[in-house]
Amino acid sequence: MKWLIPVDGSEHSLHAVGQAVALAATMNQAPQLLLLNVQWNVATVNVKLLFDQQVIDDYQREQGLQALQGARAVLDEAHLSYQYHISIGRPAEAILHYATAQEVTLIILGAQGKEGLTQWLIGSVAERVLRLSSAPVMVVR
Amino acid sequence: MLEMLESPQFWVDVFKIIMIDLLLSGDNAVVIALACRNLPQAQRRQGILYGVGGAIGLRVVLTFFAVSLLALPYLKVVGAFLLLWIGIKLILPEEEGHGEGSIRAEANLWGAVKTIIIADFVMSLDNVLGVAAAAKGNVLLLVFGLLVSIPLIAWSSQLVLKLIDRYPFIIYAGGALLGYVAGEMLVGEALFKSLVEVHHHLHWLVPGVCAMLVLGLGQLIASRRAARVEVRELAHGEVGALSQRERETS
Repeated sequence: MKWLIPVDGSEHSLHAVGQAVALAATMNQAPQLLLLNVQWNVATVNVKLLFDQQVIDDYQREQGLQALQGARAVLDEAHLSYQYHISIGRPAEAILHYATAQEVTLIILGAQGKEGLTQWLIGSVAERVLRLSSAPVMVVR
Repeated sequence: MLEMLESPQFWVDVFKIIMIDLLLSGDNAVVIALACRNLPQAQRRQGILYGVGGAIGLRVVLTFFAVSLLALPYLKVVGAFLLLWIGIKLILPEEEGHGEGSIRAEANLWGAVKTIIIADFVMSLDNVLGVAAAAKGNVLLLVFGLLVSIPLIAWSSQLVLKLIDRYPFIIYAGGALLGYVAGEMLVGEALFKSLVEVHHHLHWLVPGVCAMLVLGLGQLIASRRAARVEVRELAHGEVGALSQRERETS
């Protein structure tokens, strides 16, 4: 069993990690856990013109690690082993891409509880993953 | 000044300026964050503060510089062509390729501030020209344009990025807007004054044609470029339950 838990460092993504830990505890065989954080690509033409790719990558990696921190702490505390991964791209697409590449058996992700203006305008990542994923998806709210 | 607020044209111009600011200031905050990356934690805030302050000051100077330059004969024509190019650039998909800039993340405060101001000089030219064109010499609108761009310099919001991703037509609307503004600038050139006075329809025809031009050329160039890579892997790591101390990095 291979579970993918995409996280963005937010409260609801941590909630999903917590649920995954609880669910994993009920399993006879511990699932393989994959944490994924997706960073938007910030390297616009101007940014690339001014900075070395190394600087840009370091910055995005740092942002990614920061977003993963909370989720890693939860898993560390539960003494579970896991892999973590940082991708750059559009969140839903990158999640699906990674899920396919890793052949995960379940995607567990948190969904924002409230419907804000932003969400109304942009739609949620969870919705998109749910709609497009070929692997089973568990949305935690 | 008050009757100005009642004219619909004024509000149209306000809308144009907000659009231009939003579309052309997006990556400023990222540049500031990158420039301050290697500062010690305590100085980072200071670096960002000074950098933003310097960037705003520079933008004020550039804006007024742009306005007085645009008052000179012929320069509106030059400005209009630059704007057309900025519009086309906006529509083009990002080119593949690595960052090749030579600016490093500075480890001292003044180095970082200097980086931010140089970077802002390069980056704000587009924005300043766009706002100056849309304001058509109206000082109130110019100041408004500057004020709107300040929070965009200071705070990185990925909202614009996300909105564009969700509604790609925003980019085309922005490109067309820049073309339109370029056309207005062309019509406003003193050289063509007598011509425009006789043929009044040029007032909307030229901007309209320029907007179409940006869309057409942008589309043409874009179709010759390969699509960008969607997803890129950045880092990967593994934590085993038994080897927690071996916190790897990759």
